[in-house]
Amino acid sequence: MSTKRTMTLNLTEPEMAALEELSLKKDMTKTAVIRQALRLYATIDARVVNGEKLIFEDEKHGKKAEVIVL
Amino acid sequence: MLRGIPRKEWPQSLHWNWARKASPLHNLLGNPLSGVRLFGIEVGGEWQGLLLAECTGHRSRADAPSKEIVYIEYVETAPWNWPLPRIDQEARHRALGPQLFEMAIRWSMQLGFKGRISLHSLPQAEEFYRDHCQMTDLGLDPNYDELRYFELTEPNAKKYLSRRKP
Repeated sequence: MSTKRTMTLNLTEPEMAALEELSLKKDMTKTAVIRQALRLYATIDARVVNGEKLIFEDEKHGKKAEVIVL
Repeated sequence: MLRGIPRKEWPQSLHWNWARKASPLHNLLGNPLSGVRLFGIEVGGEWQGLLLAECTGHRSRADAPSKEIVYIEYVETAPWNWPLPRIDQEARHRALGPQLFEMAIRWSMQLGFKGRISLHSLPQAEEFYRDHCQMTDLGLDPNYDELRYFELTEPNAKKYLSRRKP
């Protein structure tokens, strides 16, 4: 495993509430949630840069929407 | 090698196209933040078994609300490690599957997923996942070639690792 570095993260109340909610819902520590979010962001970014599209599909209502990642 | 063995006894992974399986991985495996991880066991300069797992894009179907899970895309051992009694072939190296499975559990724990693992099993391997790995059988998946879908829960992941301790 690569060396770890420590940083301080300042979050607003709503951001912290969202992090706590995800941590509880996903049964993961807050650190694990942030790491997973970073991994997802990096994965999506790499694929979008590669020319792929990120699409949300609602099979029930037959809707598709492309998510624009800036 | 399989001459003389009835087709139904051939390893069901025999038709896998390894070039096709490997090509989408090019951009993903070199990236330390990638959600894809390839585990392998090498002996004497030869790969004896491989396991490809993903930690993004899959969620537990057993736990509600859905939790993050490591999904095993495939696990396979080299042909010379298949025990084929009909042609008197013994596996050169044994228990590669359980070792690779353990690696996936440890990765799941490292990610904070508490050892949760999932996969779709080929029919020949169902008994191994159900009985040896103590995975939960969630039935045939109509959206995945009617293969049976299994999940390993957190308590059973811990049990699996404790059984494997020397």
